[in-house]
Amino acid sequence: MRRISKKAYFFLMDVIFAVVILTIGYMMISSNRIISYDEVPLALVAENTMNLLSTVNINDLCDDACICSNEVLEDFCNSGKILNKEQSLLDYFGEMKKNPLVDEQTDGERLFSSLINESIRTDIFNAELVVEGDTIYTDEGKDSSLNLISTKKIGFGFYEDLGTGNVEYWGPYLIEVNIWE
Amino acid sequence: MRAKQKLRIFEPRRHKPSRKAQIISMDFVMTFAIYIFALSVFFFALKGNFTDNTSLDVNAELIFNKLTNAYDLETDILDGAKISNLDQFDGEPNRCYDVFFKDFENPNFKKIDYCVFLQHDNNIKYHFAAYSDNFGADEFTIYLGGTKCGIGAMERSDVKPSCKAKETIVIEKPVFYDGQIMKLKVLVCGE
Repeated sequence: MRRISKKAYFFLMDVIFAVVILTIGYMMISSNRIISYDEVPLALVAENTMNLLSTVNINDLCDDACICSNEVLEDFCNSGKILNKEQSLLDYFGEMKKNPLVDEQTDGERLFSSLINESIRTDIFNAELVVEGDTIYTDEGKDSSLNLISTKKIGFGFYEDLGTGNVEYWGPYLIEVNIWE
Repeated sequence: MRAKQKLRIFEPRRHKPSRKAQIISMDFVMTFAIYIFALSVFFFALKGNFTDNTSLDVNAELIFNKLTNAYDLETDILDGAKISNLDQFDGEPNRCYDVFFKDFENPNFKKIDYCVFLQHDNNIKYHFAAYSDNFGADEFTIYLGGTKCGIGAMERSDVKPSCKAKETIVIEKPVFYDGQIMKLKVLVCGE
């Protein structure tokens, strides 16, 4: 068996060290995401928005006489479009899918837009609402955004059909709120 | 002949470095250069992280965390996104201090003022906690439309919070309070 010379050992060790160091350098440069706090505020905004929509009920914002702190909700309440006031705002977007009195696309967009304007900095953050795969509301620039945080919840509930008195169940639907800068 | 021989003896001798020495010194230089390059890339990547430590972000996040994650039910003011139980702080600034600001360190600043308030559009509905390193002294710098940020309900429109500080930060969270969706804001001013 041929013995490797001492010189060759030096060369071999050098090559190994150099390759390791260059690989680390290349990985650090190419990944460019080693330390990034950009997603933290974005994640908090997404989480806070979802938290607000899922914990605040419609009857928190509207009283029995349909006087609401949100104009769009007041309009919906007065026109009989809200069939179950005891559900959360998020659930109402799910109800819209089945409620025949509501146009899911236009009414949903109107309500979500007003709620988003009240709850987040719309000059910095953009939002999107997707219910069971259907985009109800979306701001511009989603495709070109580098950071996007998505929060999802399953919504299901019921309402009473005022005409027949039957209880209608809806869901479960996947309700998704996307936030980006 | 002799003279020629003597001249040869006093000629400067040229030492040719051995191949081994050349290889080792070249190796050393190359390794050193690559090592320095790798180190610079590493510290360049970390640079942003080190500089962030002196900003107010951490303090603001900590206060916000204390507000949103109470350690007992008695001092819990947030149920999901609903604000409640604020009355416990009325007229009791020391209680605010105990719950939110006690043992709070800020080594990078001489003095930090905090103001926590609930805002709907430009209307401030309630401001319920304020603290400075010089608590109670005149040096507190946060004003809400001419009034010092303190503890209590406040129904004023077109109020813009302000403070005299080199560095300020506001973080906010949408909450439900008093029948409305509004923003829980923490204003931090550091000197």
